[in-house]
Amino acid sequence: MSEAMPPEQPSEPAPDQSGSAWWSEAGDESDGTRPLDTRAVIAQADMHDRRRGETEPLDDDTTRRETPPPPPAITAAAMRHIGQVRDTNQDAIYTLISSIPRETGDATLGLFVVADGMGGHEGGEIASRMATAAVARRVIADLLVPAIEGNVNVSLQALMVEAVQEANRAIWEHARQIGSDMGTTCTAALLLGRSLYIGHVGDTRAYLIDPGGIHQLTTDHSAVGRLIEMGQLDPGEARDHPLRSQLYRTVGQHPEVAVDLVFQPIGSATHLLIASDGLWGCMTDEAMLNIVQGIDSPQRAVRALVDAANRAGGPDNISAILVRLV
Amino acid sequence: MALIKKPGTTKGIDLNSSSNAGSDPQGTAAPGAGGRAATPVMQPGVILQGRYVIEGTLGIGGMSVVYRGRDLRFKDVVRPCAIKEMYQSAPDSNTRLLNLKNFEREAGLLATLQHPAIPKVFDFFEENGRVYLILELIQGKDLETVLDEAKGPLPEERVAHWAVQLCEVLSYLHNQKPEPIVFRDMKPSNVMVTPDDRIILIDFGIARSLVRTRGTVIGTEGYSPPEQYKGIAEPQSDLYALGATLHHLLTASDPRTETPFTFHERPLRQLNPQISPELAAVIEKALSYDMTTRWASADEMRLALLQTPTLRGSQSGGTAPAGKAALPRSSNAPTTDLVWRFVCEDEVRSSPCVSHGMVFVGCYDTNLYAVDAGRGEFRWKYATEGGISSSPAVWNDIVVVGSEDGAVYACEVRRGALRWTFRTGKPVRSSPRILERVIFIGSDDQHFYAIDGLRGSQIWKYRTWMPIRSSACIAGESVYFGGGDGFVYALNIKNGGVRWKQRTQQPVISSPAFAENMVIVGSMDNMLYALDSEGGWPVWKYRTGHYVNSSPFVFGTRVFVGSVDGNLYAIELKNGKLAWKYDTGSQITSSPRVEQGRVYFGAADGCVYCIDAANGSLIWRYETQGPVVSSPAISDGVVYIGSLDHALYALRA
Repeated sequence: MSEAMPPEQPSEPAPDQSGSAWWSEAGDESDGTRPLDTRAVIAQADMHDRRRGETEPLDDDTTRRETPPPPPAITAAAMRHIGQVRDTNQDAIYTLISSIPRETGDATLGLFVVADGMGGHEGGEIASRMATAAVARRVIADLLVPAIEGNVNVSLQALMVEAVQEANRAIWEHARQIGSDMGTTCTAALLLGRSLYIGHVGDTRAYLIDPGGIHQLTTDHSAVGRLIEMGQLDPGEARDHPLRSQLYRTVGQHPEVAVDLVFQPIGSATHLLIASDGLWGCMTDEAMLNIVQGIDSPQRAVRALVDAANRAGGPDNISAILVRLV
Repeated sequence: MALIKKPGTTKGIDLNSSSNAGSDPQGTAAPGAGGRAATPVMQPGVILQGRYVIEGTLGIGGMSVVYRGRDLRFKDVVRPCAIKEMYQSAPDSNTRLLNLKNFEREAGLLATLQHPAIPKVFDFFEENGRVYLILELIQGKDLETVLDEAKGPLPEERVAHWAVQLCEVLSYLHNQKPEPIVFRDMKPSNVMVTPDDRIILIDFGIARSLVRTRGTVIGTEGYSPPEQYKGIAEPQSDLYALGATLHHLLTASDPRTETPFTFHERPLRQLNPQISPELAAVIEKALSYDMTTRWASADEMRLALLQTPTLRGSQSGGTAPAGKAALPRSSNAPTTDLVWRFVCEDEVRSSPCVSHGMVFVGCYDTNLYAVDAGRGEFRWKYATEGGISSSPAVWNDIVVVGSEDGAVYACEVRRGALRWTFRTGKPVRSSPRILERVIFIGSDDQHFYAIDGLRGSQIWKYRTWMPIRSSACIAGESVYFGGGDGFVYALNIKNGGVRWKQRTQQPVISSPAFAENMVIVGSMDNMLYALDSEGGWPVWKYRTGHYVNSSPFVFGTRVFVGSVDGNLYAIELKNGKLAWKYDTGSQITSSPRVEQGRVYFGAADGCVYCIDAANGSLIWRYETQGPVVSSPAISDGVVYIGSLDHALYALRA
């Protein structure tokens, strides 16, 4: 904080806390603006100032601080399971939840990463662990530590993209050194305040669950997935496609990688789910939604998700992070 | 190198696709780590059939190794050859059988073909349980290596010449009887170029006579057409892959790392404006998603290529243009019509507002003017006690503006009668924003005010510690503005409570725009910020070369803003990446407006600019007699803008 900062403004509750009385709740338009309830405005104007067109004294008593909405009470549960067929677990997961102090009210910072590795000779395990570690290291150093010190000025989109690119470089160089080929998916969701910033490469998916249902936030980087998206293949056909899970973009297999970034305010969402294809490939979106909405505890819900995938054969490693946002 | 995840097994390396640049001159598939470890490699000196001696390894693929060798029967001369050895790494016998059949098919196919762009087969035999193919050794490099070494797009003329040769060899294959042969794996690493710039197609591993049944062989992701994913491969499929290959060569944008089937979203000339539109059109037709809208045959595509200026020029012996340089910006750029010009008594820094058939604008001569929008005739003026740099806004039947005298004035629209004034402690250079009947405006007295538009009384005010010259943006229940203290503020629209404030490094004079849950605003720290509207944290930042005092304008998926560094920037809203910029060579503090796909703004060189919002090319510019810091208003095909030459201009949009 520099000396140019104004001193703390006196904190005073707003005179009218009734909130909704100010606004007509109807007519919530798509651009996010709402019409003002004019009667309330007049009432407020009358209450505050009856002198018309007069200069106001430069006092501070009319300034006030918003009582911030409490940060979402976030709880997260994460689980990874080897499944029923594979003999190694090549998935890696990472979670972090921290509160960060802010002048205008504390905010929540959460980091949730799932990586699904691939490559023989332990390459998959190494790649996925390197990816989660590199992302966590970068976010903690460049965002969490400055945030605790009250100084966030980093571009969050660039941060998440660069964190995944850093993981890409680390894995690529490691693979070169040991003369191997390894790669991983990486879906890293940063929650800051009430917005999500998701860096994404591969087919590990992030879903947002709100009262309206389950919404996939990420796009799988597989050609088959894209053909389905374009309506050129139907999901039934795709299930048996020889290239169903061939990815055209992975972390660690090229010196450079393009990282998708999703910026998504959480709005009325209740849950964030990050799932490797070992989970989403085994069950429908509706089945996942039912479990998430039907079980209150994220710990129990995430276990139920993993159990369901195992019951469906568990052909692949299964990883999931479930974050309850309310 | 793509990885494949096989259902029910550990994700493994896909040995059949992609390539490793340069290591694969005879067109075996790419080396993969998993395969490499298990690959048996013969040492130099080994002799096969008592005739072919191994001299070195050229490349290792998923199912074969290619060696450089020599035919010892030619004793007096060195006759080099390529020796392709098939090996089996697949565990199951079905796959092994299929691989062997493919290898034999490749050998048989090549043996029946005779074309200068197809390698010759000399021999085919089995020895020690392995199968070998002896091929012509091609001198040169594959196109992927050529592209890697160029570290950028390859010259258009050279690529066009290759394209014609590739069409010729594809045409030869497609015209084989009784069934056409579809190559199915056209990509830069499967095309060799010889030292005399001839091309030779390599790796016929998956090429096959067209059998109209469904197969599963795909080719290479990124180059392969969509229908190959359904097991369909027709001659037009090779044309798509050829288009993808040429696209890659001319743009250096690797389709394997891009979203599949997105060539139409990445037009050639957008990635490389040097490419001629004619050549781009030929290639983009080949890249049609639908087979039936591509070129009907390789021959048709070849003829189309020969008609492009790129090749017409070189055929007639002249030197083809090696890519057109961007036209220098000349002083005789197209201009536009002046509709009318209205002259005031001092500088017009204020930005006009069009409403009720009138244009309202403030002037440094202290007056708020109302001018007929159609004819530019004077309607009325209202004199304040200071110059006006604030820009007026209209709500119902009043027009509101701030003045250097410290007051906010509301005048009746028709005749200019004063309705009310609201006094602040210092000049008002911020401009009013009105939601319903509440007016939001900042003042140099460091306060931000919410004023009742009907009576001119204060609803609330919020204090900062530096003058506020930025104008507000209202979205949802928040009002956003910048401060001279470098903060961007988000206040509760109802009571002025602080939702958040986010610091930039220098004062913020630019006025925010709201889009996609982001507050976008410039700062004198040279950055354009996109802040999370919920918490104020930067989603992205874009650095320009100087102050960003211009206010951003959002249109479609882009945000447009000027900088004092002289550029008008078009930046992708989604990721803060530059789409294009237009250099005026003079400072821009005017804020752009976009209408009908055209960006309008003024600059300190006295010009009003009209730029194509899609690509940043100049459509017209109009020269006034003084710097233009005012921002345009556009209505009914007319651009209204003020100039420091004391005039308000109406120009044909």
